[in-house]
Amino acid sequence: MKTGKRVTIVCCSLVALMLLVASSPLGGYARSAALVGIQPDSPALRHYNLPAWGFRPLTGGGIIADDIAGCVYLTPPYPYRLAAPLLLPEGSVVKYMHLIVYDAAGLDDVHLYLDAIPEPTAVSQVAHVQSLMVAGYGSVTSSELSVTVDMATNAYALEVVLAGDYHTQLCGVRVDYIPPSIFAIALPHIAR
Amino acid sequence: MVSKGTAILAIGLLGGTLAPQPVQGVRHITIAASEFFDGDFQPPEGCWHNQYGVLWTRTVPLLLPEGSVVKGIALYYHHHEGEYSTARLDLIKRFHAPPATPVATLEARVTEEGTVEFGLVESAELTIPVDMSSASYELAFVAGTGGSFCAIRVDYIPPSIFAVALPHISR
Repeated sequence: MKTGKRVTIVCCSLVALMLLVASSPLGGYARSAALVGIQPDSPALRHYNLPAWGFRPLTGGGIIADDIAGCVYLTPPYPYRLAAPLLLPEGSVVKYMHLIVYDAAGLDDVHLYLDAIPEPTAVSQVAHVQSLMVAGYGSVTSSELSVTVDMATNAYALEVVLAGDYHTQLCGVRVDYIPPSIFAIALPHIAR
Repeated sequence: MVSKGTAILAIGLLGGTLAPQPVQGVRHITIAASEFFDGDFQPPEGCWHNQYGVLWTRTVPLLLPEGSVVKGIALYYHHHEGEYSTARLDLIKRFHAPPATPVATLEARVTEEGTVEFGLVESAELTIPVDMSSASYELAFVAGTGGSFCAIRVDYIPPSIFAVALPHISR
């Protein structure tokens, strides 16, 4: 066989392989179902680690920051709600959320929501995790999630509700996710 | 006060004369001053002017693709004629390991002081791998009295396409 023919066959085979993988369940939204059972420490996960500085108040008074620990709280009036946009590559699958808080007395709970916002008047809380109400610095991890990022129809936000005043502070949020496949990034026009 | 659009335009103007030297494989993210501050912008430059006579600090998260390597940070600034001031930009890495108190480490710092009009100060070459599994990253701008803050820039090498693309087949 001539070298030119061999090169042509190899190139065609590579293109066919790319199309096969891109159109497979791993290349589309069915990935979220195919990726169940991944543990929080899996190397398959990528991380979106947002410090408390990245949040802005939705309600309450001004935001107060602890320069040393990097934790924040809100001044009155209650309720104390903060939010930050979640910007992940489209087609990613959110698998876990970690909430890091400081609770001086261990008496006030903190809630973290993943909001999907299809339109300004509608907010859907697609995931939730609650602090353990333990005194001091602590973190809590959500149960396993399978939220596929679809920014064609949704905006996404991380929303935190602090139950208490300065005794309860937000220190950070980490989102573990699986990025879209190479083909979803590079060749979206052939991905399903 | 000027709009974000004006501020971004100002960065474009800065980039015309103070753009980084192209380096193979290095990408850039430039953040306008309007992401740090809400008011007190000075037209026409679109830079935030510290007119309060006291030290100001503002911090924003730095979110880069995991596995990237930070190669440098830079601060764009402006001084009115005859004005003297100082400013600095810090790249901070904050480790979270509850129940321990979060620990912040200073990864890089650039400092400027002077009287030139538009200026740029860049760090020496850095090699800081981005690992967000246990830490978050912050950029803190500290403004001395006077002077204007226009933008910051982070130079980084993104992770390879395979680091992004193929994690889901390795558990």
